[in-house]
Amino acid sequence: MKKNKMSKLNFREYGVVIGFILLCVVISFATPAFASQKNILNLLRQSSIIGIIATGMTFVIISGNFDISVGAVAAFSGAIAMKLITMDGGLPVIAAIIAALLISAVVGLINGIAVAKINIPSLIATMAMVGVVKGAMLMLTGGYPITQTVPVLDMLGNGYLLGIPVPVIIFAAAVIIAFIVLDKTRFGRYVYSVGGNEEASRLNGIHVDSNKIKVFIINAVLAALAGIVLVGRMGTASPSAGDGYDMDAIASVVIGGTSVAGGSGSVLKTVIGVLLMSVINNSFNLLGVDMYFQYIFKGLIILVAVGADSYSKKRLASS
Amino acid sequence: MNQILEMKQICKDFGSVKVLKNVDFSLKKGEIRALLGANGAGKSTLIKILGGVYPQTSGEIFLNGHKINLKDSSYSKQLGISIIYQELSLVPTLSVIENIFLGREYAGNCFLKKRKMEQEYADICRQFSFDIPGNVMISKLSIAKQQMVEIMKAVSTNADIIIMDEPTTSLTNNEKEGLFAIITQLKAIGKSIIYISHILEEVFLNCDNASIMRNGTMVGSYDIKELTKEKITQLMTGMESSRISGKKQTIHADYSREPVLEVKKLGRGNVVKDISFKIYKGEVVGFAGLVGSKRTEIMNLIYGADRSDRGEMLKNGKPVIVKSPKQAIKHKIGLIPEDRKHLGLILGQEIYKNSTAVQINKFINAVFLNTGKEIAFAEYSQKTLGIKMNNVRQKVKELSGGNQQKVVVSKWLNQEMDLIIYDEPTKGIDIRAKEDIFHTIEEFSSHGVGVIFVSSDLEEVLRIADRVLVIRGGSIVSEMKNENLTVQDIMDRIFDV
Amino acid sequence: MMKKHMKKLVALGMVMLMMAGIIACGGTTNREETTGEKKGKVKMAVLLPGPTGYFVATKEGVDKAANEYNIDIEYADAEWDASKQLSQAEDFIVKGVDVIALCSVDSGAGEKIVKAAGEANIPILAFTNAIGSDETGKYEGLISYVGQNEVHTGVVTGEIAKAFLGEEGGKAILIEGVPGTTPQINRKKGLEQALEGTNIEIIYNQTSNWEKEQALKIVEDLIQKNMAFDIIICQDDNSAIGAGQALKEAGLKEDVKVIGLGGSRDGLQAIKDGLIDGTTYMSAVEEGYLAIKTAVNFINGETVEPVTEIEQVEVNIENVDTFKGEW
Repeated sequence: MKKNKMSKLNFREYGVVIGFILLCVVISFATPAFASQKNILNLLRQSSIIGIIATGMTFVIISGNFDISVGAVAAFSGAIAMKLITMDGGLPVIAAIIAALLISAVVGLINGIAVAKINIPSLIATMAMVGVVKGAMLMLTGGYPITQTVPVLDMLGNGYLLGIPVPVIIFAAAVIIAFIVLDKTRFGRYVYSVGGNEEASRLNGIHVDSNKIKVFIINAVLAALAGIVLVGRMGTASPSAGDGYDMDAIASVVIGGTSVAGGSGSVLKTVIGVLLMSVINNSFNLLGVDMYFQYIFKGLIILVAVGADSYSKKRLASS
Repeated sequence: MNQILEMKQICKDFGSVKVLKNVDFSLKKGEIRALLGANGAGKSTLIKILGGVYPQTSGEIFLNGHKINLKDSSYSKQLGISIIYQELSLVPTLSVIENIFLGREYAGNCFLKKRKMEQEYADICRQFSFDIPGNVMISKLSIAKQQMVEIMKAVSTNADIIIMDEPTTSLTNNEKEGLFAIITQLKAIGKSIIYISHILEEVFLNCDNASIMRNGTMVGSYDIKELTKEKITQLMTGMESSRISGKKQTIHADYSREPVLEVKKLGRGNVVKDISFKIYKGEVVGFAGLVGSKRTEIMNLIYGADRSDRGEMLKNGKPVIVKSPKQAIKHKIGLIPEDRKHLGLILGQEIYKNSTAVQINKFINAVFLNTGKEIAFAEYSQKTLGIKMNNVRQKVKELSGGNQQKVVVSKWLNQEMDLIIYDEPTKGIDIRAKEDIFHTIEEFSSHGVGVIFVSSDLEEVLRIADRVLVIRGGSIVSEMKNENLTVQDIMDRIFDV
Repeated sequence: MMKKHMKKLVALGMVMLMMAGIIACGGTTNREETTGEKKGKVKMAVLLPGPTGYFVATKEGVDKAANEYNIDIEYADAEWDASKQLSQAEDFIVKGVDVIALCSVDSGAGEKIVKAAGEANIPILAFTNAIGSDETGKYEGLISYVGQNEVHTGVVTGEIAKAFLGEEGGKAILIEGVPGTTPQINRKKGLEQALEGTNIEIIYNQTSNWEKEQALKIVEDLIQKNMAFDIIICQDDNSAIGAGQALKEAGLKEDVKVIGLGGSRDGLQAIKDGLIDGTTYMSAVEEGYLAIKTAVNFINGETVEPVTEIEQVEVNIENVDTFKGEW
């Protein structure tokens, strides 16, 4: 009896993990190029930037909200850092990075206040913020990309540490810290609580507003961090960077199994989602799948992943 | 003088409405006090003031002899007052233990002391013979178990005063036993409990004393040994109501034909059980019962808003399937819902749009809506029902409650309905509008329409109904013809005296 | 409680372990395979920057050449994301293609890709979008650059202007593309070169970001301000059409000449309609074809020029019918 329950639980919870492993096995047979060291390392490095953003996005979705300004914030933070480094009387790299992170934290703060205190739905508030951030970025850069190879940044984006690409290390570090916060701290518990039932949380004396705001700040800082890594990898802060990153991040979180209804989920699940998306992208390239078919396929995956979750919740609610 | 709690001359006004009038209430340490009264007597309001949800308009509260000002719910909790509400305050996506400690977790510098909380939970379970595994997610538990978790939450906070508002509504018999055992234990360790319930057997079983409220005043507090069920219901209704009130004058019911609606053993899960009744042409049947007796749930089954899982419905002798409101309307069944603001109307829309909502097909010319026709209908309704408005293009939310309700009624005019359900139609409406609503019921029934009248106001029920059905816990417990019937009679049935 | 997350950590650990296993076993088998197949069909990766109509035309030419020279083409579309293009290039490099043809999203990304291809010893060719700061498109590490010299194209627009205004010269408005992009910078440079020493003066310039609507608005505003000018020179056809429309609506089209750039279907039609007076033309299909041909030549061991310039020619009402719009 207990065993039965175990296996049912396992399939729903770990369906994604199992699917992911199967996919990897199948692909490595379909194209040997997949299973090479270089490809796997490439794949891991390519997923790191979205991975860092998706880690922050996990917080937001668990707390019951969305944030589609992450792409713009990532681009903005890269631009700030590059500008501060390359301008006359430029700052040292570390200072520039910290400045970029701080300014992005302020963006997160504004998002948080808009959603928590003024009650603007998060989708709308962060959509508006995209315009604000992009405008600020254009003002900062005059619309021109800032190109320069900065050794420290280049290390962050393209370097290796003990044979592992640095972006992967940063991604892993972000995941570990996020996991500890969400699972082992009071704040993390409150993030789940607010997403699970805001009214009940309030009744229990939890400061719903301040917790929501903190989540948006964390998300913005992580997006900013990803932007730094991006700038390191490309050697350029480009005004058009970051487009579509918000959707990829949300897709990763959702495919990984975190529910868009809020209140549950985990960064570990998000990691699987990120890797899954990367493997799919990678395998499409390796297998030479028609590039326009890739659009269709990715859209379908999101529909199926979220659809399964939403539908099962609907069945549960009416029973 | 070991009064742990004293409430003196508490008054509470909401606007111009006086909900509590000079209420005195006190509690001794280790006492289990029942708080009784009919719907609207003021029990909830008194409790919420104690819980810090809102402040009293006047009057003082003393805790252990010290005057206190309950400024918000957190403060109230801190002072040791814990309320178990009927609407649960649990987070469905968190586990039992996480919910029990929600808002008061043990955390070091910033890390949760999970082991400590698990330990404490195990202790509580041992102490109170509680056996729900701590790691289960709340949403996976039955409502009954969720209610037990809610109770455990209050019990585990070391509160001195625990207020239980209808705690057994969703519990199975086993769990009720468990709860009563917990109450006994709490008393033994010196906790005081305020117990609100309409199930008088439970009150006699658990409580030391009972305080009875009526119409916002405290009638009195009595030792439970001095009370009987009859006495309690008498005190709740007041002596004046035992006479026959404004009896129904004309009966339009036609008992010679097939019933317009016959319901046989209708049910849904554990919520609605084994409902069977008949409604005849032109008959007005009152459904009396307390809040929470699931009368609305029964009506929703008839109207197709919910799906029954057993039983059948017959209209004019023929079996019908009603699985959606659309089907109900097709079968000429109409509903005036209890929650008029959210379910009966679209407040932000114009009056005429609301009036025509149900019969919109009548106002279409080929493809497009004929606004002129819609307006004409709305104005006709205005005249017929006496709706006070500036013009039919006004937004409904600008009207008074009574007139809003009339707009809801207007939806069903001119449609030759066979049955109309009025669910608590006079809630929050002024007297004159109430009369107008009764008039519409008269009108419908005189035209042969069957009417179901759900109400908690027993005097109203007596006034309009030809027959009265008493509902408790989703079942029909009594059926009476309205001949020489008194409010007391109905009240007795409700409380199973 | 611990158990819940233990399970997830175990699962994640399994995944990592599995990947490590694959890496260990996988190794570098792919290289042997491709060298074995070198005698067979040539495999080329074509990296496109984004899904615009221009590249649909380019693709046509690429496919035509692929057919003729019997090579296998695999496409990737970067959707205007430089980072994505870099990832796509990396994936192709790992897969082991024989040659890469790149139209870069931006120059910076392009440089990184050239470097990566160089490290993997895969020959790489650039087309349409130049990489690096040399205006001819020449860049170290490329087999060749196939495409226009943006500066020269700018010069062509200048020549058209000179033909229209003659010795007298006049006042010109310059409507530019997205600022900071190579086309914008270089086309302006070429234009200024051509106009040097003439009586044509650029009195005002503004960016339309390659958009028709924006150009329309700019010209409308200038007309409102009662600015006097004789000619509007744009850096793309869409903007020229927008400018022409604004003039037409104000009834001023007779007095002001409008020049576009590119030779799109809309642009050529606009000349026939009298909405614009001149533009440039080159064949995107040809460009695509030539890119592949050049690459194939290289593979076959022939010497190849570092730059294969495709020149844009002047289009006006007289010769417009001789050109076929491709995009």
